[in-house]
Amino acid sequence: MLEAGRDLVSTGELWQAVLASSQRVFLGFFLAALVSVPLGVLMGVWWPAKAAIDPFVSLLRPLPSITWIPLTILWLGIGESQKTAIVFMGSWIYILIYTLESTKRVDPLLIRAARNLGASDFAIMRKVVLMAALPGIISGLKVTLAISWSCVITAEMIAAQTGLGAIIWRAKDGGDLALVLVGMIGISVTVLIADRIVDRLERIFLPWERARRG
Amino acid sequence: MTNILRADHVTKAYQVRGAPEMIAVRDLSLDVAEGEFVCLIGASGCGKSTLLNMFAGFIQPTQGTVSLRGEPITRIEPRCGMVFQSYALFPWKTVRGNVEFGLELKGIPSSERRRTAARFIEMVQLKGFEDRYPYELSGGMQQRVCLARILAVDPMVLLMDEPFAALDAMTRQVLQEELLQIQERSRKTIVFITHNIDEALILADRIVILSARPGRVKAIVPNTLPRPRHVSIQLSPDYAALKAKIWEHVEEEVQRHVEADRLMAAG
Repeated sequence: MLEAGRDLVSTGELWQAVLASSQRVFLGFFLAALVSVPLGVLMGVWWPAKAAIDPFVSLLRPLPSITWIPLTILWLGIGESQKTAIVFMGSWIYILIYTLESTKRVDPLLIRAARNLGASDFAIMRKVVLMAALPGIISGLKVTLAISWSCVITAEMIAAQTGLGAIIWRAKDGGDLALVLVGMIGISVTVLIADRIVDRLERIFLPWERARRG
Repeated sequence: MTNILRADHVTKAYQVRGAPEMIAVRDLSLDVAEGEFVCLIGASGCGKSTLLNMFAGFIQPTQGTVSLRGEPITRIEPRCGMVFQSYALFPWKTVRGNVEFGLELKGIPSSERRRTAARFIEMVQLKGFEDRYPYELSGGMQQRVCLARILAVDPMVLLMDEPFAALDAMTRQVLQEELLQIQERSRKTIVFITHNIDEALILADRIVILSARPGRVKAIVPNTLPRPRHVSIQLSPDYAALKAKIWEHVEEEVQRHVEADRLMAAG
């Protein structure tokens, strides 16, 4: 296994695969967060938005990302955008749900105090609810990142030339178990590093949480 | 002196599912003059917070009106600034950030905000702590930040709902002294809820005793202790007499409240 791994690393193929997979994950994940975080805050504060969007969430939630593969291939072919779309489709709902839950947990006294200081509904959403829910939202993002990774690996196994998922799938066809294991370790290490980076960012962006985290 | 705040035959009833209607206050009338310090005192559940919340516009009376300078209060009224018992500081903002919050909402430019905030932070003896987060501060310091935050937006009236109740006795005394000085200098109208007769005697110009639920004004005792006042006023001979008078009123209502609770538990 070490030999197979060394081969991949020396040809730079492993690194390229990591890069390819990472790019797809982060783009799809970032777009999902961009859509779902504001949506979740809006739904958490403004009940008409919640009433309108809840039925979609209920319908779409049970669908695993794999089921989106045929449709995305139809709409987007088998290029980069299709992989990104799979990550998006598998992730946005979870980010939305975590964000919604976090906004519901915001201390109503904080909202009351903000209103007493003259805040409008929109200001409350942006300056109070979003900030108060942020630690919870970021927890949700961390969990969803792991989900995003499993989406991209699945998508790559089914229809991709590059990426860690593709490596594993090709290795399987060649009966090369050692390569499969190398691919798996590649995934573990990449996700581990991504986690550490998010932790570091969390410490920077949420200085007030230092009290609880120590 | 003109009246700035008025409650006119106010009733507040709550419908609780599966239980008889709960009347927090009934036919309560009260006038607050501009620049005066009024303490509301009474047993638990007598409607003190309800009245304050109506002045702030968080809830609406079922009957009667509350008004600020003659205008009825029908929605949230930022001109009646509130200080809460549990602080309600924004944990993600520093001391400065919290104090600037109301100013930010008003669209005041950042340099002016900073200057105004600095002034009020100094007024509450927190100079040097501008960049600290609430979790780094003691209870007394947090409450000082709340005070600075609300004073910074210059409300017409200050509503304080047992603001010092969660603090230890020594810190409470220090904050009472500071609040007295702030009120003396700014001449702000303050409506202050407390359970503590000593606190009322130290702070107030008038002490309003509310009856047990449903709350009504039972008695109003003018505070004849001289101003400028200090916490040491507790040692004056007139103090004991006033305290006894107030306790007489309050005791009756506390008995009534305990009795009502007992009946409710039994029935």
